Amino acid sequence: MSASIYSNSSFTDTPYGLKLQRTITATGTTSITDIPAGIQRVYAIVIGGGGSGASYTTGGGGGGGAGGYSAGWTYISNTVTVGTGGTGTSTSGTSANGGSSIYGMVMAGGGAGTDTSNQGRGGGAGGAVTGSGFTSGVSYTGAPTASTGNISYGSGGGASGGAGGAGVSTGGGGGNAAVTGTLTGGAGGRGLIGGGGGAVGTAGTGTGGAGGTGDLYAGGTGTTGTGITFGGGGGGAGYTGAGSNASANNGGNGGSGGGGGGGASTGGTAGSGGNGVVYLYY
Amino acid sequence: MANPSRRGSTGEPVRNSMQGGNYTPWTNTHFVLPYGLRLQQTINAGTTSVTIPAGITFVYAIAVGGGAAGSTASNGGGAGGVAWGWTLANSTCVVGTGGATSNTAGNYTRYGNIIAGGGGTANSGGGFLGGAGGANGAGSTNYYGIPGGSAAAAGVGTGNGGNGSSGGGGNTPATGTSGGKGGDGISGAGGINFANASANIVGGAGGNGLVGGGGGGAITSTGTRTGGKGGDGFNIATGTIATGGSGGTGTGAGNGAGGGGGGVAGNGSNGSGLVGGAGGLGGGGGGGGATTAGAGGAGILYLFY
Repeated sequence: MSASIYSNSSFTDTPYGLKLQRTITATGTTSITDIPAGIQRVYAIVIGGGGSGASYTTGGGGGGGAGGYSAGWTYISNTVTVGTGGTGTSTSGTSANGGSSIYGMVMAGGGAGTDTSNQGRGGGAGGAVTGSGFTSGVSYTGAPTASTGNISYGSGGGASGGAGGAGVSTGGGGGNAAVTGTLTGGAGGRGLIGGGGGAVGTAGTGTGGAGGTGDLYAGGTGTTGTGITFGGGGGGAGYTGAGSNASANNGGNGGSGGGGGGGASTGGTAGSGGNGVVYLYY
Repeated sequence: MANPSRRGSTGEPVRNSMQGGNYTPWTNTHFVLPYGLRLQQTINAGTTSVTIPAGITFVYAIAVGGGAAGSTASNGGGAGGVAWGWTLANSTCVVGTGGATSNTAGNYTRYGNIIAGGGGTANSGGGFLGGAGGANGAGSTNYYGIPGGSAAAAGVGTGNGGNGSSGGGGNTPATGTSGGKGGDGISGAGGINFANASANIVGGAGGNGLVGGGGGGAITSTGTRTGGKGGDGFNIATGTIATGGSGGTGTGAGNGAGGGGGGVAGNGSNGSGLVGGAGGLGGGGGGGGATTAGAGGAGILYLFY
């Protein structure tokens, strides 16, 4: 004999046995009006958009942080918001945060664009709220923020040339402001969702950092070669798609489902963050 | 007697593991595990892949980070952090190793979105995500946002570390003949060494918890030196105490190493001579030892479905 979780109310605090019923990928706020009658609450998994990488006129920019990942029960809602990944550009000294995603009372912040107050730093990962600079956001469960490549639920962006921290959602790798010598950008952090790789722009041999490897998908590779037309960072792995490889001095885009964008080298175009996603189980 | 942990109607089976009416509450380990689910996989450090049967969407995971090693300054290491909850089934995992050599922190363990940090070493406060502090180090905030305990101040009061989700490390007390004990918590902190010229002395004990911290050593005295006991942990697979190792004892030089803390899957080892006891499997902190620090216990990952 076995009990049914659908008829025994004592099981309603566990998602065990629930089925994936809805996957929402359309960014922005949309309506949901077809939750079946009798379903009072759903278990939501919510992922924010990834942050973009950065570009600078000289040297390399850091990679963007991965979008936050939150999961839990919520009352049903007739709207859902899916965060857009931050858009990477070639404008020097800029980057863009990813957008937040939310369904009912489950929310996830976007990954941070890079810390543009310090060219070398990668962006912090999102948590329940959006990361800020190279610092991650507090997670939906309450796990603390992190910075400087440190590990947490949402991990910190890497320092100059350093890797993003490991975690659930991970920080972007650090870029490097130097313009000579043999340089390597920091890789995005390893996690469920990966941050973007940092870039380098050097007259010597430059290798862009790889996008962070995810549990489900790979991060993109950075480019390597001599001179400032190389050194872009790869895009971080998303929850639903791989990060793109960098191309020349341009950063790779983050994978769909919150991957962080790769940094760009020497006026290239930074990678954009991957869009978020929302899953509903009931 | 009805089992208060049951979530279903009294006597109603939850899964096959609970079928039948002849079980004995509290001696059946399923009753101390989540929601009557069965422990299906126990994953040790170094393993990176997981196979979950088709049709299983959600998995309940308990992740334990690696414990920190003690130090050759005879200080105890902090226990690894613990995190638990539901996550989507996943084919990969990270299970952290314990610190292997003197003053090496433990590493993190993660499955899906469940992540626990490693224990911290003496003086550094290097524990994270629920990892406890080593001697004179602060505990850390855990997966659920519960703060860690503070490290005790040197020369003040008992020198016992503060309690929290993870304990803060012990420190030198104002008076007495024993070092400060590591703070208690889900993860216990490391005890500090204790020195004296000639008195009979005892190193600080490790903090107790689900995972125990390492004990500190007793040093320099020509009297009896007894290492601090490792903190007790709790074996969640058997429902029994995972005892911390005892400190080594003897007169004068060559004695006084601290015991290793108990993990969630194994007892801590005893300290012996100047060799600190290793932390137990499942995140126990290593004991302090003047010649060889006790290694931290490796992390572990339990999956229920």
